[in-house]
Amino acid sequence: MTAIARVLAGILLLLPLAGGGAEAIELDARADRTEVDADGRIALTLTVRGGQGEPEVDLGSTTGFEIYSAGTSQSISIVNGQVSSSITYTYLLSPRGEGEFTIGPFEARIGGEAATAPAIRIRVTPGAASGAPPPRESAPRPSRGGEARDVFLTTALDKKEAYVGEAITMSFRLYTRVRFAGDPEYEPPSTEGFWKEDLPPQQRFFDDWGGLRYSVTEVKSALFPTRPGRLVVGPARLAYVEDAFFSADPFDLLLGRGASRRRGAKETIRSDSIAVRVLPLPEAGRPPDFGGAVGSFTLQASLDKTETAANEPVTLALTLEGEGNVQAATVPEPRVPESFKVYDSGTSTETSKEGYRVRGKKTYTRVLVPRYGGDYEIAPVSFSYFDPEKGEYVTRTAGPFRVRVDGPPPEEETDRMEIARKEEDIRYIKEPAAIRWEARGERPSLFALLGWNVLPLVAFGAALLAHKRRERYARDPAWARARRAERVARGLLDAARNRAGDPDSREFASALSRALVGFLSDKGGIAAAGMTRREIERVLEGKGADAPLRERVLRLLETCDRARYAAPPLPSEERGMLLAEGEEVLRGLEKLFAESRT
Amino acid sequence: MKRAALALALFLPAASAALADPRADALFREGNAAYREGRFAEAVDRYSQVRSLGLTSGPLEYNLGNAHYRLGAIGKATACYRRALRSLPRDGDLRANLSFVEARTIDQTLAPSRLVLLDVPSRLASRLTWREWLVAGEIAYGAALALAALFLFRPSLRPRLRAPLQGALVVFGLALLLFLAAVRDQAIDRRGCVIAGEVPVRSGPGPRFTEEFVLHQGTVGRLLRSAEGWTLLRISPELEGWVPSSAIEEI
Repeated sequence: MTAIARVLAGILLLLPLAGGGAEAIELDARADRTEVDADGRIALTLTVRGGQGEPEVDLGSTTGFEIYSAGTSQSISIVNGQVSSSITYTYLLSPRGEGEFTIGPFEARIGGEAATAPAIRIRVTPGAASGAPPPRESAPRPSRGGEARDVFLTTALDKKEAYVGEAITMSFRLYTRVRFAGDPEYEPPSTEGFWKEDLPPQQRFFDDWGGLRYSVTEVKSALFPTRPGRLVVGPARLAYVEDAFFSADPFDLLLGRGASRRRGAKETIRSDSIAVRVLPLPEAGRPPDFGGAVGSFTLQASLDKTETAANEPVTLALTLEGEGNVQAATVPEPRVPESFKVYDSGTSTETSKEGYRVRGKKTYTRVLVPRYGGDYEIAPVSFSYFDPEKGEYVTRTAGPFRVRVDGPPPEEETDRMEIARKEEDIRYIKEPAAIRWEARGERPSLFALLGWNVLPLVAFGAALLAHKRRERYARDPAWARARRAERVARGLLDAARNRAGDPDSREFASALSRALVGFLSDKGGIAAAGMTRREIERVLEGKGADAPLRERVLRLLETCDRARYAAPPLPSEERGMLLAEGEEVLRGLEKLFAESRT
Repeated sequence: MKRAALALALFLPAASAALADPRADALFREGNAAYREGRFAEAVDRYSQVRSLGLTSGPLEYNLGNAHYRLGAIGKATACYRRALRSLPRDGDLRANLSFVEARTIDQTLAPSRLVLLDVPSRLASRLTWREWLVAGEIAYGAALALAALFLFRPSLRPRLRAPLQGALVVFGLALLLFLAAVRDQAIDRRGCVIAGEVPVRSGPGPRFTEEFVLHQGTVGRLLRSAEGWTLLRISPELEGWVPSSAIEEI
C-alpha cells in the first residue's frame, strides 16, 4: 500500500511534465443521498478531472447545512500510455433544520478553465427524536479510492464573511479510529492575516460516522481578521504512524492478515484551505474616537468617593467589558480639571474564553489628586466600537462625575509651576527615513575572522625576518661573506667559462683562481690578499679536508698561476679540463663547508 | 566611528550585514501607519510579516514591542525590546520602554548568584553591538600592528612608541574579550521571555510532573533545551523548570 502510494505520488509529480498543453476540466458532484433526517449527515463528493494545478472549488449555495471539509484525495490512471488524474473533495453536510434545500450549483476553476455541475436538491426529514432511528449503517463516511479512512481532519469556520476585527470561530477536528504509534506531528492551519486566540479546552468525544465509531479531538480558536480582502485559513497537516497491533481487527491478527499493513509507515493527511471574505469597517458614521475595537462592549466608570480634601486622592475606575478582542481595545483618557494631578495606577486585562467565545474585561485605574478646594466636574468618558451584528458603530459613555474638594481655592495669580509628569507611558515608535535590515539570527563567522586576521600577522612576521636578516648582513661582514661565498664563486666560474675561448688564457685562469681562493677566503673569514698556499692549507685542514682534496685544490691553483704569469697560452682542451676540475673541486669544498657547519 | 565601521565593512564580510528590502520597508511603513491610527493588532501583523521574511532591525523590534504593549502583552513587548537591544544598545527610548515594561512585570528580578566580577565583561559588552566591538577590535589590531612595525623597523622612534604600542595592545585585548562576550550574549546564548499571563513551571516536560512554581509574563530566563513541546527554562542556577514552549518566546 505504502509502496504503491509512493509510486503514485512520484507519477503525480511528473504529471506536469508529461501533460503537455492545457486540458479541459470536468466537474462531477454527487451526494450519497438526497433525503436525510435532521440528525443525519450527507457526504458530498466533488470530483475534478483533468487540468493542471490545484482547483478552486465553489460550493455555491449551502443554505440549511453546516459544511465540514473531510479532506481531499488524488487518483491517477494510466491507460494505453494516456495519463489522467482527478482530485476528489469530500464534504460532510449536517442539516441545520428540516425542509427542502438546494446545494450548488458547483463550480471548479483551474487557471482560466472552469467547469460546473448542477445543483442537488436535498430533503431533510424530522430527526430521530420525532421519527424512526437514523440508518447509521449507511451514514456517510469519508473515503479515499473506495477505502474507508481511519484518520481524517476537518476544519470549519462559523462564518465565511466577516468584518476586520470580528471574531470568527475556527473548529479543527481530528477523527480517528486507530491508535497512533508515538506522538503524531501536527502542523496547525496557517492563519496569516488573522490575530489568533486559542479557545481551550481541547475536547475529546466519540462520534459515529457511517456506522463506525471515531474518537474525535476538537480544538477551537478565535480568529480576528486584521485586514480586509480575501484571507485564507491554510490547511492543517498531520503526520502519524499507525500502531497496527492495537488498531487491527483481532480476527485479522489471528488469521495473520492485515496486521502489519501500515506498521512503521508514516501517513500524512491534510485538511482543506478555507477562504474568508473580510469586509473593511465602513467609513460612514465612524466616530472620531473609534480606536479599532470590534464586537459588543459595555463601559462602566466609577469614583470611589465624590467628596474629598485637597491633596487627598480620588480613584477613578474605568471598566470596559464585552465580547470581542478586548486586548486590542483602548479607552480614551478621562479629561480632568487642570488642577488635578493624574497618576496611572495600573491596567488589568482579564480574558475569558468560556463557551468558546472570547470575552474580556479591561480595567483602567487612575488616581486623581486635587490640589485646590472647589466643586469640579470630570467630563464623560466615551468609547466607540463597531458592532458587526448590527453593522454599525456604537458609542458608550460614562459620566460625568462631580467631586467636591475641601480646601483652599486656587490663588488668583499663580507663580511659575513646577513641571510635573502627569502620567508615564512608553515612548513613541521609531520612523527612520531609511532602515537597514539584518538577517535574523545572524552570527559572526569566527573561523573566517580568524583566517582574515592571520594574514597581516603573517606578513608582519615575514617583514620582521627580512629585517633581521638585513641587520645581520650589516652587523657581521664575515658572516655575510660566508653566506655569499658560494654565489660569488659560481659567478667567477661562469666568468671563467665565458673566457675559455679567448686567445689569451690569462683571464680564464685568473677567474678560475679567484673563484677558488675567493670561496676559501670568504668561508674562512680571511682577506683574499692573505690567502697564501700555507693559509689555504691551514683553512682546509681546519675544516677537516682530506689530503686528496687539499692536493687537488693546490694543484689547480698552481696550474692557474702558471697560466697567468709564465706559461704560454693553455690549449683549449686543457682549459676545458681545468674548468671541469675547478667545478668539481668547488663542489667538494661546498660539501666540506656544509658538513663542517652542521 | 560610523565611517570607520563602513570602511572596515568593505574589507570584512562578517561586519557587512545591512540588507535592503523594499517589501520589508513597505510593511514596516504600513505597521507604523496602523500604530499611529491606534490599530495596534494590525501593526503587530505588519511588523510580524517583516520578521517572517527572515529580517529584523532595531527599530522594527522596538515598534513591535510598543504595539504589543498597547495590546497589553507585556511579555511579548519585553521579548521585542530585548531583541532590539542587540541592534540599539545605547538607545534612550528603548532603555526607557524596557524599564517601563519590566517595572510592570510581576516576578521580581532575582539576584545573580554568581560572582559579580564575572558579569563585568557582559555589562561592558552590552554597551555596543557585536559588530561595533568587531570594528573596535579591528581598528585596535591594525593600530597595534602598525605601531609594532614602526617600533621594530625604526629604532630611533622606540622611546616614543613604547607607550602607544602597549596601549594599542591592551585596547586590542579588551576589544577582543568584549567582542567574544558580546557574541556569546547577543548571538549564541538562547534566552526566552514568558508571554503567557501566568504559567506553572513543572519538574518535567509534561502536565503529569509536579508544579514547582509559577512565572508571569515578562520574566526572562535562559533556554536550556526542548522536548515534546516543553522547554527547560533557567531563571537562576537554583530556579529552573519545564514550561510549555508556547508560553515563552525566544529573544
